Amino acid sequence: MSMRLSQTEPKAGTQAYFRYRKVGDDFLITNFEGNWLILSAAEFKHYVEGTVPEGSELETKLSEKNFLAATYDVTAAIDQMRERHYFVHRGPILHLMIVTLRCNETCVYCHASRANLDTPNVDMTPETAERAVDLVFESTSPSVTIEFQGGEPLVNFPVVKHIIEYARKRNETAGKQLEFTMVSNLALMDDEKFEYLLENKVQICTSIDGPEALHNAQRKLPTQDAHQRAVHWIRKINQAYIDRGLDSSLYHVEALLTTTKSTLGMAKKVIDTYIDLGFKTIFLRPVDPFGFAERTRLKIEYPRGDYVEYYRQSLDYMIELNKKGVEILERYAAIFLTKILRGVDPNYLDCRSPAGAGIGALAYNYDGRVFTCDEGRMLYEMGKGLFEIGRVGETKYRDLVGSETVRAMTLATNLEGQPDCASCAYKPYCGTNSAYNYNTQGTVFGRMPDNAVCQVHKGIQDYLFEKLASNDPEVLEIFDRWTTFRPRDHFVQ
Amino acid sequence: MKSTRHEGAISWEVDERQVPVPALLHAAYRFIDRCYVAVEAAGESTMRVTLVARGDVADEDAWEQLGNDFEDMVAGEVLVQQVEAQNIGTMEFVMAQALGSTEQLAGDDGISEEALEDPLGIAMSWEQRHDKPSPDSATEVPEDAAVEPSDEPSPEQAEQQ
Repeated sequence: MSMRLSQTEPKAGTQAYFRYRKVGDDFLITNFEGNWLILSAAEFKHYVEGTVPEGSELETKLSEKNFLAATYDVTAAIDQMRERHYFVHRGPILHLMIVTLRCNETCVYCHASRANLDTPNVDMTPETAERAVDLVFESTSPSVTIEFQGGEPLVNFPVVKHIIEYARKRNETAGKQLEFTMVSNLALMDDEKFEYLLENKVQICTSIDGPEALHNAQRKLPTQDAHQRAVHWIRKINQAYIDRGLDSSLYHVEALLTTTKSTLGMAKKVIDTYIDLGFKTIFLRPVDPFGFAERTRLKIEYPRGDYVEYYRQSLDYMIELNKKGVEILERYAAIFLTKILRGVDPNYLDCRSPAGAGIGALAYNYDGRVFTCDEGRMLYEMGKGLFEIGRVGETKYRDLVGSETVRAMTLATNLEGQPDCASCAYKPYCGTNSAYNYNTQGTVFGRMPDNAVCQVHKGIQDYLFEKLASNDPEVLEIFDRWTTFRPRDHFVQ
Repeated sequence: MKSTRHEGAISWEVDERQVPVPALLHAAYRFIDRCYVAVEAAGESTMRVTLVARGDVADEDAWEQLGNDFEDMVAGEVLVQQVEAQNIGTMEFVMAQALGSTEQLAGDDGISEEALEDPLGIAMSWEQRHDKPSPDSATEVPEDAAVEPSDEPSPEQAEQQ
């Protein structure tokens, strides 16, 4: 029978601040600045009762990781806390340009509140684009990434080109580290556009939902060949990187997967598809309740407990593949492990504290409205305009990032102030999304104990810490590899 | 803590002097995914917590497990909050040193006046916002909120008469 805390005699006094969580029969403890240790039940009992034997191995490891009040290394804690929150002083790094709402594909879970190809007045104009880029260069962040989104950004390619050229010109004086990314289904790609994107070092990201049948059923084209078209261009783009002498393990098309109810029973098939297509990473994202997804919820949604089970099966399989020498990484795991093992934040804006809405990212709609984040922009398209913070050409940068909306969202996503998160062992590595919370729970703060994102984050971290507790050297080596950051300098303008 | 089983529910009466109310509230809050939770005053310095399961609870063993989990959660919250109280000075110092910018300082305390503006009162407690004294305990009812019994009919009652 496992140890029960209420049957011990906890005594505060010797411990530095800590949080705990049961992992199997062991206990995970994390401290204020994010160090962690796995303790056996007996060790945990000593720790909480303040009876750690003097000179013991337990005392040494607790002290080394800064879990004891008597030996608490304040300087080390400050350095670590600063490292984990370096982004707080930066400003918006990610700038999402919604160059059009028009899209050629109809996806069952579409997040983007798309419009049909023949819809008028849903394209960004060159003038609006220039005013948006002007705001990008007002960001206090020394590095900025302009991400082209939609709809399908290739539908309004002249404005994509205009933004790239105008931004490069602005950057001649601004001198920021500038990068471009495009999120495209690739179905409207042609050689001319491809050559332009390649020449201008635009990183390309697409969507692959798994095997051909599943992908084509979820991402519908009239010709029913969305998968084939995407695959054609993925192979061509990857080959072009190789032809230019770029390291294929670092430079390749990235793809996003949206997990629907249909995906849950296909964990291995989905991963095999990614490997066959030459992907080195897969991002097992659950479906979000934005855009059409809310309306088709019953068809594609699932309890998050089912997602966590699917995630565990997928990771088990990926670890087995890695042990056999197949290079495949799961993005969610890599984000959490980078924080857990490396002590730094990879700046994934939806999973940091405080979140990136307004202070790490801005979204520029086709009509010039500015939003705190892409989810806020999607909610606007669904009739919920809470996250609109201004307009390009009218609102000053300081008024955008200093708006009451951004302040409220920053407070709401600061986990120190969330009643469940504040004492959760995963607090140093976690984050929440206030637009999601508002949409699903009616408050930007959310209620974490029954919040679906929280359930997913806890489920993933439970899995990762179980693996870390198992101390399997092969798994630890794989996790270490997944957290090795290699900059893609080629994409810097 | 000793639990009492009811039809479809389990409850505890908790002495505030042994379990501080903030720790009890934190623990109760963390159960809202599994249970409907009621926390209420049950007498002088006594709180009552009632958990009603949101889903089926298979049998008495499952109820016992639920109760054990809650008692462990309360014990953990009490400890963590005590540890926090003892370390709060260090934690605040670490946070201030780590995140306090050395640039753009304006006020004597190193925080710009603009950063402290709070026109909507987002950072204020209910008591601050409505200019009320902070209660010493969760079971204390502010004096001006108490309804005095009166023989006089209310305006609605007078109208009906």
